[in-house]
Amino acid sequence: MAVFLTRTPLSRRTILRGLGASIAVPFLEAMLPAASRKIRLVCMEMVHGAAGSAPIGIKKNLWAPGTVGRDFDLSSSSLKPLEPFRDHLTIVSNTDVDPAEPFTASEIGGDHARSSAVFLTQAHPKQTNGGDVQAGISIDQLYARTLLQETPIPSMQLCIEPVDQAGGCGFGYSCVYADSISWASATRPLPMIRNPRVIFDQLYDVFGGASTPEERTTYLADRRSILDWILASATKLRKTLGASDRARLNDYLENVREIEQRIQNVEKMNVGDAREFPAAPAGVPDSFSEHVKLMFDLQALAFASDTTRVVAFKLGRDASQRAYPESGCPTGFHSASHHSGKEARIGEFAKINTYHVSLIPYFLEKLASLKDEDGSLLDNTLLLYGSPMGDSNQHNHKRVPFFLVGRAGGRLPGGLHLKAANQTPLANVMLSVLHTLGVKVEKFGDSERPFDLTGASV
Amino acid sequence: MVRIRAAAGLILATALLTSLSAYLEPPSLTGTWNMGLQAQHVVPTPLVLTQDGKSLTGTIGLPTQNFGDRIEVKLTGEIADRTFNLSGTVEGSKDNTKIAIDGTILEDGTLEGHIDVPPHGKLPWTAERLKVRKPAPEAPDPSAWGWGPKQ
Repeated sequence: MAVFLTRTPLSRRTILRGLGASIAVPFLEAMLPAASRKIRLVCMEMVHGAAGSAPIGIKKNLWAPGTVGRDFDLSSSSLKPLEPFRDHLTIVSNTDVDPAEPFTASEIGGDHARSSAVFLTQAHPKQTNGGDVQAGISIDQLYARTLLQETPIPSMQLCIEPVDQAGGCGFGYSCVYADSISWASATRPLPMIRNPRVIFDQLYDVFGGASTPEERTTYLADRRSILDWILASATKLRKTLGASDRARLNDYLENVREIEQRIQNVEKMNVGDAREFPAAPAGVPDSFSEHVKLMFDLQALAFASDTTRVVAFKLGRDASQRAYPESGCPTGFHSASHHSGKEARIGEFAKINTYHVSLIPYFLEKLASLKDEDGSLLDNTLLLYGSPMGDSNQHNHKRVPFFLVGRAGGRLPGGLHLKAANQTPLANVMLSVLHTLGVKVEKFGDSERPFDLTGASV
Repeated sequence: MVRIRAAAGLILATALLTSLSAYLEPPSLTGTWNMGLQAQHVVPTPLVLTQDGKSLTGTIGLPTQNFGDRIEVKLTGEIADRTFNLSGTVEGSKDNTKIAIDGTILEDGTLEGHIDVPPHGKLPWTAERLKVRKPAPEAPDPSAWGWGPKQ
């Protein structure tokens, strides 16, 4: 059946401009058929492995379910919060991250210092304290390169913990290995952004282009909304849209304003020494969950407006002693991960793992509520979550926690638990993720062959 | 024909003797071992050994109180059958602390034993031989791939 279009579609790159700010608009029906389906990729790393990678944890299914295939049970697993999204979930268990293991005597003990650099590169980092760092290009950057800068921001690198240490971070490793998970090339780690305010301003080009120092001062002093700045432009666009598109644009702009207000509230509260992290920038919430949710909201806005399609998101920092009271475990993260192999302490550590995973449904719900060209943003997103460490008490990199959420535009069936054969490199799975995203590479890190993510062999 | 049979018998006998001696003689300790000290958690520690007959020499990289720092201690010792002992002095320590290690080679080729490090006392440990890996491949040069933005 032929489709006849009687008007020129609205550009997917429509921008609402005002003095000192610009807002890319979300997908609108008026943009059809110019827009093409593109998969968004989110790569999330959590450090310190999981309780479910320890021998007792494996036995008790604290991470990987006991059943392989579609009928998996998440009731004992730290993945339980993902139950409402089980149809979007692909759990891959029993894989190893061998490039994070020591290769020489001097590298033994440096697991915390080098692991994060391995997670998305699956490459063994060069042991150096100097500027001659080397690992490999990361999976997010490989994908970003195939998009040929189709989006205003090719990729974003976000983090929660401070990553501003200079020099060496122990065991002869540069701090940059622990600070960044995203590598543009084998020798170019990318800086991660911790402050939501910086990301917001980057997304909406606040102070960009024509802004003057006076406008900047006014904005900071008045804390006006950027919506005030693009008011005329938005009014003009609304007149060209149908009713549903107008409603969608209004929802989106309200969403932008709501997130902006939350950042402003955090900045207002974070004045003085009374805060938990006095050294952190004012835009960084003290609350871990509030910070993570704000970062998720910014990612959802960036995806909705097609400002970027690729995000690397680092949730923790190796050897961090941050406590997560909301998890029900009062012990600091690093100490909790050193559970001595004792069942009760493994159970406590699992509470932290569960808490971290429990924050993800907030993001998935948000993505599910946002319309994309074909279905929702969740339909066209692939979220990858895992850790380069397995049993943190042993500091090993075997049987690492890992899962995917999202069907990547229908390319993954979801609703599966896939258990790899012993000693399967996680890089095999990463290679298949790249193939799912349409990146035609034959090898990634220490991969041996692609890993079937469709469950055909189950 | 007789010569062929004799030669075949000789080859078979040699093969049997070789495997028997391999079974009876424990493997050499020479090499790098990834030792896990069982403290409050498992502390990965490098143990590098050279075996010459019954004599052992080597080093252990003991962790210090500063995260990421290690102090290398020279070791000497002896092996008898499948058990061995090593000792060394932490040079520069306040009282020239002496450390002592005892260990056993297990059937699967891994090691286990105890290490006495004053004032921490006797800690159990296990060790695996550090896996020999292929050298890391040359770092890829994305600009040579002909796709994606130039660096």
